[in-house]
Amino acid sequence: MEFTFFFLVSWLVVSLFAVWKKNLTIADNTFVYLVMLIFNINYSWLLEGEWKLIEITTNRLYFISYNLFWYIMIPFVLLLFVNAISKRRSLLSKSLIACVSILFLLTMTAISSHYEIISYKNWSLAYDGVYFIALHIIAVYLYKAYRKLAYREVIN
Amino acid sequence: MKIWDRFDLNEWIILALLIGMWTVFFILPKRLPRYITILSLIWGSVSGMLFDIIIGTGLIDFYSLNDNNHYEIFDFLYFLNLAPSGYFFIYFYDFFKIKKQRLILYVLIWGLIGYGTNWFLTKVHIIDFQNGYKLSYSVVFFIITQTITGLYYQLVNKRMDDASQSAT
Repeated sequence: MEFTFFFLVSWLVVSLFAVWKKNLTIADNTFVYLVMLIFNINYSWLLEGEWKLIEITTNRLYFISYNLFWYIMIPFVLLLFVNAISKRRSLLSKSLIACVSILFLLTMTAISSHYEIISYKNWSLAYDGVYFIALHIIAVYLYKAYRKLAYREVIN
Repeated sequence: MKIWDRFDLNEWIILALLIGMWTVFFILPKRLPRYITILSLIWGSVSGMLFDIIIGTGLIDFYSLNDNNHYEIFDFLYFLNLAPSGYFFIYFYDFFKIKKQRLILYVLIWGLIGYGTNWFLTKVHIIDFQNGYKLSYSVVFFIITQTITGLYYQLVNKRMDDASQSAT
């Protein structure tokens, strides 16, 4: 049931992105996805593998759910977020979209914790919240940096 | 996170590869658009990291990097080494003007290069296989990764061309 739930939500997020009117080019979207993946891979490695601040389930289906969440759902939510705010001027609407996105990720993390897909040791949902806020800020600024650097000239 | 367990052969080889690969990257005449250069470098590293999280850690722990299963600074440098290899794949793909039909041969050649490199990395203990994993299994991952890379590069090129044409 939990695996189906995570699979379904991941599929919904990816499908939503597929039909979403994209304001970023395919190169921009790929860049944001890959960079978010780098952050998530290292964050989860350090938290779980190195510092043992969280514990990941040994149940194989739950483990796949964990991977779906961290390596597919989170980067695609960030992609939806960057696409949604890229043409908006109002800081209020940008902040509101960021809040919805962060709340969604926190809810999914709380569900992961509830079903013991992850168990917090010396870590908490609030710290993950801080990470998600940082991730949103990083996504926006790295996307802007990429656009500046990548399209300054056609051939480098 | 450790800096390193013991500074021996594998660390020296990672440093040598780092210097060598990035030197070649800077020396090669530039022929790719900058947005592709950046993406190919990042994809090179990310594909290695993905490889690692899928079969190198967690429940399926088929290999360890460097001296132990911990995340060392030299693991990070190893992934940094993979960045130019992603670039070289796309660079020569563009250089040899690979189209769909020749992609099969191109991927097979890179699969062989990957196999040879992986064999070398096991000999110098940068990669140590465990839990019944064999070197030949890596070919499967190389072929999948490189096929996706080639096809995705074609897609990005086509979409970016379409976007620039519709903009003018």
